[in-house]
Amino acid sequence: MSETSKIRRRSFLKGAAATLALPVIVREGVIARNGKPGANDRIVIANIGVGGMGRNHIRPDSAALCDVDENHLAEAAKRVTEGTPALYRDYRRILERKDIDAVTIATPDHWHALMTVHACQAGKHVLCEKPTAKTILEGRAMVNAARHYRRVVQINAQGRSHPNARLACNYVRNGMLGRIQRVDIWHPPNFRPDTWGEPQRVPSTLDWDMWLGPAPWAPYHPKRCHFHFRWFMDYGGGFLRDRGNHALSIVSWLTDNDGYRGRVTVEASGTEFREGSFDVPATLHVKWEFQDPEWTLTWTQPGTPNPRFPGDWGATYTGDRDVLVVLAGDGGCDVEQKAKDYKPPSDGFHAFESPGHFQNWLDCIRTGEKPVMDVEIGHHVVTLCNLGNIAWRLGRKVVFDFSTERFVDDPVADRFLHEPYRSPWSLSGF
Amino acid sequence: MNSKMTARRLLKAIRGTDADARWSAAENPADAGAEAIPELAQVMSGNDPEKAKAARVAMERIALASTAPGNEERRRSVSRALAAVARGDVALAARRQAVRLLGFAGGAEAYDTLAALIGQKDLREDARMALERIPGNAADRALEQAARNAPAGYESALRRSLQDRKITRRDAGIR
Repeated sequence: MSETSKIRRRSFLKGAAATLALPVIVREGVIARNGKPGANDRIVIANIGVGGMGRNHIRPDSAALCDVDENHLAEAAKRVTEGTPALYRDYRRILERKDIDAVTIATPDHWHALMTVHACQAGKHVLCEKPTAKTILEGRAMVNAARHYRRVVQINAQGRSHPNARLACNYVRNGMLGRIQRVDIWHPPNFRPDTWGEPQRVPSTLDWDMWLGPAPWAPYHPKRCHFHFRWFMDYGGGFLRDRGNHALSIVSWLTDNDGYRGRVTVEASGTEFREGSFDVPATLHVKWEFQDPEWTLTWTQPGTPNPRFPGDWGATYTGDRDVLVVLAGDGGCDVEQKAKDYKPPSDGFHAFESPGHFQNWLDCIRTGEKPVMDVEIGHHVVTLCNLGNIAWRLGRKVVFDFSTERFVDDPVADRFLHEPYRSPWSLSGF
Repeated sequence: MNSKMTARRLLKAIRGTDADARWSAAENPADAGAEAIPELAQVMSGNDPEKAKAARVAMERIALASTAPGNEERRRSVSRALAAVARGDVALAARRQAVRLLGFAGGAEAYDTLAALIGQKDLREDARMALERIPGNAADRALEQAARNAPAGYESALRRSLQDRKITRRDAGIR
């Protein structure tokens, strides 16, 4: 595929070796000049990663599309009906463009942090798919970049924009359950592998090296690539960091845990897939124990749906007065009728009523406010997911201190805070 | 399966025909310790993918279990065993796994091995990333030494590792 670039000035990046030299780009467009666009200014959007969930981010007027798979690009281009989008295989070409205000990122997890940090440095606002990051340090880097470069970074855990999640939040946060004692999430098991993943020839339409990016090198196999990446710890984190990110986002919202800076004790147990290439656990049980206030969160996979309000996946909230079941936590969130019927008192807690997750992001780009799933909340939520996977891999109980973002008295657990990147990619020195 | 798993019993179960016994052993191998690692690497190099996977799982669990606080001697012995596999003549997949695990279980006893492996094209990235993950000034010096002896064109990757090791929570993501 030949890259399209409308940039007339000399490209500031010459291949992968120049990655470290990615400079801060001061845009000259509308947003960069005055900090935020006016109510009637068009926000020019480009989409990075346009297969899978990325298809949903494409706008009729998207200015540019980027993907390492030409087939994705070709399909995505058909969705742009107002104008002809520029097509790229390297996201850095989009970041070079001064006319683009904001980007969506829907790549595999192992790219989220680098792309978000680079985009912020280039002056772009970001809508990044969940899960926020692959590692705890990456999540922190994304928050730092958003704040330092004053960009709006929304994580696309869209449950917080769902009306039913808001009603559930009002119900719980106004004390209808009493003091929360525990939240128990149930979920089906991870997908079962059906191949040992013997190396295959890379399709001519795919840039496999760029797909891998900062992740350790591995031979190509289709069940390692699109969609199935989530069953490999090098790129994903199993359902715990996938749908679990949605479920835990709702839990954190309803329990007012977003700002928690205390310690959490985490332990996990599970089983391996005996056959096939996937290396996420086949079954997994995680327990998080919070302090001040004390309460317990669990993830059970496979778990048993709560018969009082059954669904494929969901969470049972148990307080000292009552119980509430919330299903899912993504675009399909549902809650028991009593929460839907509940009217919070005028002086009570009223959860933010999102106009829609994407629209909320656009609104915040215009106002400069933080979005409903701001990157710092996304970092907090995905840290909970990552702690579960770290505890499972270590096979021991760990204590994590949210105030320092380090493990307590376990220096080797700290080695999981960040995954070194394959050369030449790096979070430092941009 | 008795939780007290000796290396001999672990290997017998993994090489055996009873899949339930194999996986019970592979998922609970911690007490087998360093002694099991060389033969696990041999199983990983074999032709049976399920047994190889069980061996890989057992090796990882032994390595990570050895890092629990309070038993430094056990960690060192596991690290030395992993380093021997990394230098050895087993299959590349087994050597790569050993190198990656040294990033977690490795200490001073692993520096020389990892620095030397940077001279091997198939393993240099894994060795560099393992060294990058290990904290401490001694690992810095190992990376610096490796950079001085780096193959042509690879020094920059090692310099970048040295730089990345200095990322803190405060400055991550900030230019």
